[in-house]
Amino acid sequence: MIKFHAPLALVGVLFLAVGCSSTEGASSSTSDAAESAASTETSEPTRIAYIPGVQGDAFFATSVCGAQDAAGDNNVDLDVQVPAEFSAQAQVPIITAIIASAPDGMIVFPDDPVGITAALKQAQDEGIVVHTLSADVEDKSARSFNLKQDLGVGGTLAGEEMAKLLGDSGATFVINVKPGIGSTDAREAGFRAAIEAVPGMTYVGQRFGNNDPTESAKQVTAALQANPEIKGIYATNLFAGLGAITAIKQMDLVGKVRLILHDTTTEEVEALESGAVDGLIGTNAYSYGYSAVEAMLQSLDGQEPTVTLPSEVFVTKANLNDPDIQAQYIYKNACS
Amino acid sequence: MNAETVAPDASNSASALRRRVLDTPWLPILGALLLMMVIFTVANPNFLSTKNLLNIGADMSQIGVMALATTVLLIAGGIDLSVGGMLALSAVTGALVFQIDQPWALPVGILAMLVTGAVVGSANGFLTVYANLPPFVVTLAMLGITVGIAYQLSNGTGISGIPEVLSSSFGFARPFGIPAPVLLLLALAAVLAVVLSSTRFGIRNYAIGSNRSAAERSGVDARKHLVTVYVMVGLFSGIAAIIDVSRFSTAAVAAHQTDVLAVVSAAVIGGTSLFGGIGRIGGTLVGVAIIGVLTNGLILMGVQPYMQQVATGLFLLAALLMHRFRESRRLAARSQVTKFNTHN
Repeated sequence: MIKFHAPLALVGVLFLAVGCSSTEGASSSTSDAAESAASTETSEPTRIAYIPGVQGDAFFATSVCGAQDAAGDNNVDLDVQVPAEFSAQAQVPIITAIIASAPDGMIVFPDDPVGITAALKQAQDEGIVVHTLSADVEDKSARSFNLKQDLGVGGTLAGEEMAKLLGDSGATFVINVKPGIGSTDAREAGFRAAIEAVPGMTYVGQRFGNNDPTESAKQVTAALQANPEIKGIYATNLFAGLGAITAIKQMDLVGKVRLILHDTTTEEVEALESGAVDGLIGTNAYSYGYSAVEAMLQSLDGQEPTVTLPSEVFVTKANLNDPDIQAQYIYKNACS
Repeated sequence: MNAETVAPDASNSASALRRRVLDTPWLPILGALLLMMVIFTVANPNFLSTKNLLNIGADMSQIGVMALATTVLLIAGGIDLSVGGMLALSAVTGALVFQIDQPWALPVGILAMLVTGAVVGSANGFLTVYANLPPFVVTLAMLGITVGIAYQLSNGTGISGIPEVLSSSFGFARPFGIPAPVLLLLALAAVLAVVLSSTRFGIRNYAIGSNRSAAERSGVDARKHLVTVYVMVGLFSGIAAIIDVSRFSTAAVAAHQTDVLAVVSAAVIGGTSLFGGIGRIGGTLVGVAIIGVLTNGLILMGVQPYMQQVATGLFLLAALLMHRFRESRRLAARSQVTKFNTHN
């Protein structure tokens, strides 16, 4: 009877469908690896899993491009699994499934400094080498290496560039994301310190836009109403930046209030090209992924990883089209 | 104990068997689960390892606990979209109590999680039943309210500082080799299965969901019953919060805003009707297992994350279609029996 077979048939169809998609992803990395790693052609590929922070994020998507290229260059079979949301609750089931697939190494961008510790330790118990990328877990024994960049450096760079834009004189303000996020809190602290180091510059304070352009626009509008002396704004991520652009436009202050945004998503690059934004803080997301795979290979070879991450750059209209900036610092929606 | 005993005529054994099968819509779903497990095992033998299966169970324990209570509510003809919000708010409330450096903070914190869930659940119940507002809208509003308050209380971030004893003696404890949260889920399932099948409360629950006005005419206080069930859903969300903070050592609000999708999906895949009157705890457990196995197995096969969401969605749709088809067959079979009886 048909009714009995409906779910069974669906299982079959599902496996056909996802089977096609999985072989596509897996075989491309292994075949790339086979082509380029001529010297190690006969050896079994090293199996590495990469678990970024969250889906739909340009930074992580670009880091995956770097990780895939590193896999292709080094005979690595790379499995990338991205949580649907930025939380330990979404990341742990992925880690436990990866444990069962028994890779040689696992690179994790921790979505929570505490919540994923037990799962990482379980992976280590199964003989999997665990590295954390950028952010870290509180219990350092849950990973053997953390590849990171000083989180505040981008904010410091933004502060220094803002002082240059304003001729070392003027009031500044930060539109931030949410309190308690390590990376954006560090950016704000770095910016504040850089501004306070310049005698003619002042720092009015920060407001939070809750990772939402509309809320960020409201907050920036209110800040500009309350403190009309503000001449420079630093937005610590894309959504804060989109809100700041809107607020400055609707208050007819384009060009009068200088704006620096963190990150280099398509939207932010377009804003830079249109003149709504003065500069972007570009992170080399590509090399986060590439270097993470290299560091893991060093660990698997029994060495102490020596890989480091390049620092942020200030992207303006003038250097936007430099090949290096385009290749390394502009976030990608799809890997080339 | 639902339509099987209420419906007329079980004398014809062939027809009784047929109805019995039609009344157990989760049997083919169980078949689908087993088939899925066979395929995943062929693809990667590690799938069937005891460790992996126990990990899947632990990963699904919170969703499972909320799905059990949701099953009872759906059978009674209600729905609660705020389960994830109640979990988040309960977890945050408990975590805040845990910050107090006193020996009583642990038991009081646990109690606070249960009470928070029950209080929000009772608000849902009173608003839907006594103010006669549609549960879909009331509980959607409550999802926003609970998540908002939880964010406010936690300043938008996760709250750590959960007592170590919660993870060591519960979250990661393995009595008899089985994760304690899984044992708790199975114990709650056993209790609810007995309550639904063998108590007056269970019979009323099916009766109210099948035909509320008929149940009320026969003297059942449907309002009181429904409020009780909404409180139970809140209480179970509080229990899920205890599992959550014990396993993740942090109370994170963002993680639970979409929990309701998995919770309702598990119940519906397991054969519970969104229109009330039909559903089994066993079916929901199978539904929970399917969601957990599907996610884990697809990751093991190296399937890309976006396709996993598509696969889960497709499975839910197919299960809905199948249950709808079977339900129409069941009603047709019943009306034939009634006709037959009338002619005699």
